[in-house]
Amino acid sequence: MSAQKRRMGGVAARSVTADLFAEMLPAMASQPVPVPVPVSAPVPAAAPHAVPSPRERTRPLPKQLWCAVVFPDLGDSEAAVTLQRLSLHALQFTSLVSIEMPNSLLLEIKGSVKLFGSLELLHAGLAAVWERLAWRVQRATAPTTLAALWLARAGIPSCIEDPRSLAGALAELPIACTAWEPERLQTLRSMGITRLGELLRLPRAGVARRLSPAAVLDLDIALARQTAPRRAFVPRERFRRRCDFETEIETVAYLQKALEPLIEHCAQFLRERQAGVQALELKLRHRVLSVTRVRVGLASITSDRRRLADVLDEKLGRLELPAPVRGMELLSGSLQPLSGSSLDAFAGLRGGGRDTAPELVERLRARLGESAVYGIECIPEHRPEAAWQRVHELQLTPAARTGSVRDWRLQDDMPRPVWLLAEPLLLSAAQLGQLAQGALALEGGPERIESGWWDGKGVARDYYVARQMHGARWWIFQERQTKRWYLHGVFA
Amino acid sequence: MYAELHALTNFSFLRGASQPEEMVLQAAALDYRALAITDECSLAGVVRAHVAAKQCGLPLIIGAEFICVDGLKFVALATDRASYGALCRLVSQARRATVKGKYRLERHDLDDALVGCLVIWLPRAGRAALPQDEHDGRWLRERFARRLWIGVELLTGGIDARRLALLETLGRTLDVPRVAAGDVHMHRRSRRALQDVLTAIRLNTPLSRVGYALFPNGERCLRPMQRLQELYPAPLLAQTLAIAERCAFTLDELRYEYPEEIVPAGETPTSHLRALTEAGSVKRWPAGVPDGVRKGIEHELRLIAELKFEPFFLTVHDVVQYARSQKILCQGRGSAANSVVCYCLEITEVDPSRMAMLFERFISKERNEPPDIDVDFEHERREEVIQYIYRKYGRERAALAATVISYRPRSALRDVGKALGLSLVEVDKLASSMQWWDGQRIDPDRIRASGFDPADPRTQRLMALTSEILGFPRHLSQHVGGFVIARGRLDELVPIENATMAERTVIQWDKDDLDVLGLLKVDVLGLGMLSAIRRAFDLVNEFGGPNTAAGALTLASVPSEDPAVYDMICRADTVGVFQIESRAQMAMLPRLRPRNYYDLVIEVAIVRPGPIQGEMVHPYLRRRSGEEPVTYPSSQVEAVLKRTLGVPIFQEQVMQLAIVAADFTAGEADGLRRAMAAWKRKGGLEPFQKQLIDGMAKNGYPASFAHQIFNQILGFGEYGFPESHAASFALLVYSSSWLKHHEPAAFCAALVNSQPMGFYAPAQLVRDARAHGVEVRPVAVGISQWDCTLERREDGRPALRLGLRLVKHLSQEGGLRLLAARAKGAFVNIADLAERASLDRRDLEALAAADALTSMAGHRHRAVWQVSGVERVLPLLPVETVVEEGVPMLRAPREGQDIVADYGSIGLSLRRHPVALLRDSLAKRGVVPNQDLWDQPNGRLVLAAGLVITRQRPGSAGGVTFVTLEDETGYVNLIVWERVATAQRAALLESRLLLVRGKLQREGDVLHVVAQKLVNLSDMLGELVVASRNFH
Repeated sequence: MSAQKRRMGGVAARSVTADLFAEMLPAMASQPVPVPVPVSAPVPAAAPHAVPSPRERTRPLPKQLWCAVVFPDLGDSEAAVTLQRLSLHALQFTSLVSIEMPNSLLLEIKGSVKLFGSLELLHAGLAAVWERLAWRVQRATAPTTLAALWLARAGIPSCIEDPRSLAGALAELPIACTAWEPERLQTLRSMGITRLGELLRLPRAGVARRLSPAAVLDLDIALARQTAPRRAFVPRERFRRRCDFETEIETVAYLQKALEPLIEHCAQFLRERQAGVQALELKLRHRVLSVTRVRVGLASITSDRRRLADVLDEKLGRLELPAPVRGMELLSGSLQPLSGSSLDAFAGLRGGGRDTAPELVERLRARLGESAVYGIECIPEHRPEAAWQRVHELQLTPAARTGSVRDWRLQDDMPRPVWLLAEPLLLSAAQLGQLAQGALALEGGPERIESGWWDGKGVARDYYVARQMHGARWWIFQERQTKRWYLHGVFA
Repeated sequence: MYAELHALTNFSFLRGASQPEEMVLQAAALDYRALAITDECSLAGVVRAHVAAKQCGLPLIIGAEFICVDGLKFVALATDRASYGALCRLVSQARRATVKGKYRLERHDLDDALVGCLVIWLPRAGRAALPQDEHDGRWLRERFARRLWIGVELLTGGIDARRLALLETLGRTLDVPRVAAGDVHMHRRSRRALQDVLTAIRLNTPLSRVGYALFPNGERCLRPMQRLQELYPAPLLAQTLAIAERCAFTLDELRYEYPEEIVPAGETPTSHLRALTEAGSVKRWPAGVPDGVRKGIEHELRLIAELKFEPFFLTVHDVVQYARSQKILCQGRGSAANSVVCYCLEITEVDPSRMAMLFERFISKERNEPPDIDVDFEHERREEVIQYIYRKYGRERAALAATVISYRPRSALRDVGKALGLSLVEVDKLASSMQWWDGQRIDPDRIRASGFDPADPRTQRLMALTSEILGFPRHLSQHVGGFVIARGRLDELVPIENATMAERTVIQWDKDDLDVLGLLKVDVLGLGMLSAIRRAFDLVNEFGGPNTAAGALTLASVPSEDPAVYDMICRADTVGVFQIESRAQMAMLPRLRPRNYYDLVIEVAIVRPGPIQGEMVHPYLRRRSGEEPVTYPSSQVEAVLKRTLGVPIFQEQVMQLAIVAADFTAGEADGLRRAMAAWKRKGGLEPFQKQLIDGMAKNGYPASFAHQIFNQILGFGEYGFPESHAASFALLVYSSSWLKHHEPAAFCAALVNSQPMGFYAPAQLVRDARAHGVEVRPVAVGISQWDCTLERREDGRPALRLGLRLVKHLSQEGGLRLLAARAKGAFVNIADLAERASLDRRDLEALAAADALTSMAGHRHRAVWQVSGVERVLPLLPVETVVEEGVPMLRAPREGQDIVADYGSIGLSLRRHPVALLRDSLAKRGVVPNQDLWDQPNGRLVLAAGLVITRQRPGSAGGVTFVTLEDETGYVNLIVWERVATAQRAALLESRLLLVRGKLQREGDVLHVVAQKLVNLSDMLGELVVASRNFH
């Protein structure tokens, strides 16, 4: 968290009610959990010049204990995502985990100590988690967030429970552990201030004036003279539900039956959140073998119970169970907002059947294989055989020509046949004879096409339209290099 | 019979796929009757085409293709000088109407344009476009009656017959004749792949996705006559010849268009130049012009008159006079600059009698090109000279020449790779190593080493196309200072377009083009050392002292050939001196031991890639020291090489050798010079190689000698250094050396005030000055000026006071306000300073960090505390400066902290060297101080350490990186072989304090450590900021 944000938080907590603060950020996935932390016992004055406590403090701060975990190896690129993932692991120790960018987590562990038996056991548990995940960490525990964080950043694995010993513990830390802006740190260094202790000895007003009040606020927070609400991490939601069978199930039909309530729950879950999914996973547990995973994808985001059921049924229908099943678990993919638009664009195809077009495609793909159903797309390319391609996504709206439309110059182009042979066909001797005698009459051309060298399938051909005696029109070409003639397409 | 009237070269950037020369040669080979080069709104390629066309006797037509914003497309061809001017004007107008690299042509721009040009209209020619075509045709006919044609371009798109019929009908309807044309984009069909690649690059799209923007076939090449006859009706072909005949204009008509106003009324250029020369000679030789010199002057003036080059000398003289009137130091160099005439005209300060050069060698009757004079000006004041030229001749008559930016191996590989759809990561991997390119061909083994399979067709395509595109022009840039000045409107001489810099324009031709056409150009270049020397003179002259006893010190009055100065040079005690301060130069000085001016000329030229790669350095040194006899293969060669002991060192000598030993003509030798400059980019030396070696063999020279000469030509490359330039540089070498020896304080101050320039940062310059006994005083807010200045010491000698300019983060405006306020009265305290100089907190903090406030605030920590508390007050409020509680107890900085802060703020420290503070711990590791390395035996493994001052990786050194380390005792030079550099890259590149283990290598007065192990000790410096300078 930058000093900027922290400043916002601090100011909000002092001057605005906690509720209002929460309201300011309703759309955020992670909700701020304002921790009401008024001041505890007065801090002993360190020196005559010591930073005096703020005047407005009235209530005592409740006891808190923060464990800061710094991941020094965490790179910048994936930091946010990785920290979210790491937060999930941290959640097993406390319900209040807060992410501190760019590389730290803060855990409020006061409430968890009892649960784990002792602080030592809790720490040991934490250490084990990071070790298992192969993360190098720097850890420190202190009654305030910033104190814990600064100690951890400085790499001092300390555990301070008494707020009164904070000032002493922080005094030796280098000022860099505050992660303040470089200019502010530079100003301090050029005054000869390199440790927090030296900073704390300076007159409060003078410091506020030179370093901005935010710096003083940070110091107050660290020394437990000021509250600092933290935004708690809330994990991202997915549907996950498990059911175990009393007896092992050996046939798919039973499984399908047993799956129904899970799907119902899933649909309900999605409805409540006005969300849909595009992927589902079903884990089948066996007694002996490892888990069988059944993964299905959907053509579009949905929360519809029937579609979810259909597509799972279809997939299960073709599944051969490797072993009897003892239990199963249904997991959703990540939740996505359900778009309001319906699939009416293809409504004309619905006919008498109950399927919409995407449903039909899903059904066909589930039955015939993912690649069996495809669309066709035009590609702007000079080589006829490269001028179209199969596509997985189906254009379910009335087909518009994709790719760049050929410019006006090409309106007068040679015509192209609708039926293009998969492979050009070498003209037979008889056909060549016809060509020579004029029985196969060249009508238009030559259109010279020399292109496509870049993928190793270059062509160099002269194309002609040729009319047969009985009126059929062929698209033939002569290869420039070999002088051979081929049939490449037939005009309708 | 056919003349191609619509052909684009690669100067239609990323469209045309052939060089202009290739286009011309192919057209001649196909027996075309003429060729029009019609690049898109550009004449940038026509001069090259012109040269080639003259060589092979092909009539060349100058033209351009235009596409209006509404799609109207046509080609315009020049028929005579006037219509050529009109063509240039339209190109200029369209180019100036929009941003660099583009043009914008509207219909109404054509209303009075292209007077006298022939116009070939290229209609859309689709059935649907017929009404529009008819409308366009009538519109064009109104403007270009009887000089308008319809271009019929049949490109085998399958619709040729229909298209021909359509255009015939259109032509008959409008009563406009038809003519055949080819829309040529490449000289041969084999460039089709390259043309596709260029299109892909232009559209920034991989080839597989370019689609219909590619041409469907390779018909847009120069096609054989027979095929054209099959395609086109005979009358259409015949019409091309009729048009070609009307286009009689040739670029040769542009010669001698020199400005006229440089000659006063009643004078001719010849008489005026003579008068100026005479007047100058009296000034140069007050006691009377010696006979030899008199003869030289007469000879030169005769030659100049014969070649009509007077305006050229007069123009340069005029520019130089202006600079002198403004006290801007300048110095001419280049072939003609070393003439007696130029010396008399004060274009150069090099007395030609010091040199044994012949004027003819530099102005050649046969070469038939204008003399080469570059003039260097103080780099910070060059702009004044440029503005003077604009003022004098007007922007419509003077402009900067272009530099053609061409594809280099790296950029070529990148663009081609992208077009072929390779991932950027892959391409960059290949491009970054570049080991596979030796200047002539691509080495498959090296490709493999970069992780690419040379047998893979994708790699092969990449390599083939990359070598094809090399040397292709990519865009036009602004030449550093080559001005072209026209007699009349410049935009009727050559098209002008916008440069990247605002308010700058650039012509479409580069310096070579101007040379070819004999147009007048003046090179106005900037040179940092001239700024420094002028400043040093000013400082010395103002301060007074023994060296100004005889009058003000100037470039001309610096006492020549002072042995003490040469002694210093021989010791390689040359930090800060012009040219000979680089690592390589310093290593050479003790070996070459220059004792006179001409030795310096050689010194300047010998430490260059040319002589080094041509292996000329050691033979020269051996001959000089008498270890090897001085011999010559023939008396002709002796005449050329005598002054360099039989070893060719200068570019001129190589060309001269080609003439005397291999029977080159002067023109061919000049072609060789051009090829030398360009072969690394585009190859093209092979024909010369054969001619040179065969020619020498024929004249009985040993093959080894011929190969040696050729190797040197290869080495010269773009860095070939001519004697004529070395001669001028040597004067600045001597002058700066003299200043360093006799006026070290002024010299150091001048160098620091002229930063950034040269090889060394202020820290090294100041350290060097102190080592030479100069007292250097710190920046102080009550004393320092903006620049470094000289102060008189008790003993009358100068001390150097550091200026405010060194204070990092102090704005110049703030600094100047401070000086103005101080002039009205000394500052009482920091609040007074802040208020009267209205300095903001940033400026104040900068001063505090520089330790410049000591006099009013005490030590640095206290100063920072005080200034950081100052709040900028609004001047409207009558201010009670905020009174604060006293300054808290802040510890005084320790020495280390102060040094760190010094470096952080002013980039140098007058306290101890930072390494001195670490000496104990370094000694525990066994590190030897740099000075003590001299006591170690040759070949011993040693540990050395120091701040990294420079890292240099010259192209000529075969991958070696040179590193200079500095400690409190001096410098040590490291040699890091490529293998070591690669293996320990991080330590090499990231260290500020570097520890090295390596073998001591000592040869006479030169000492190196050949690095084996590098260790980054930067952490020991804490926050010490040391900027090293990296050179590549």
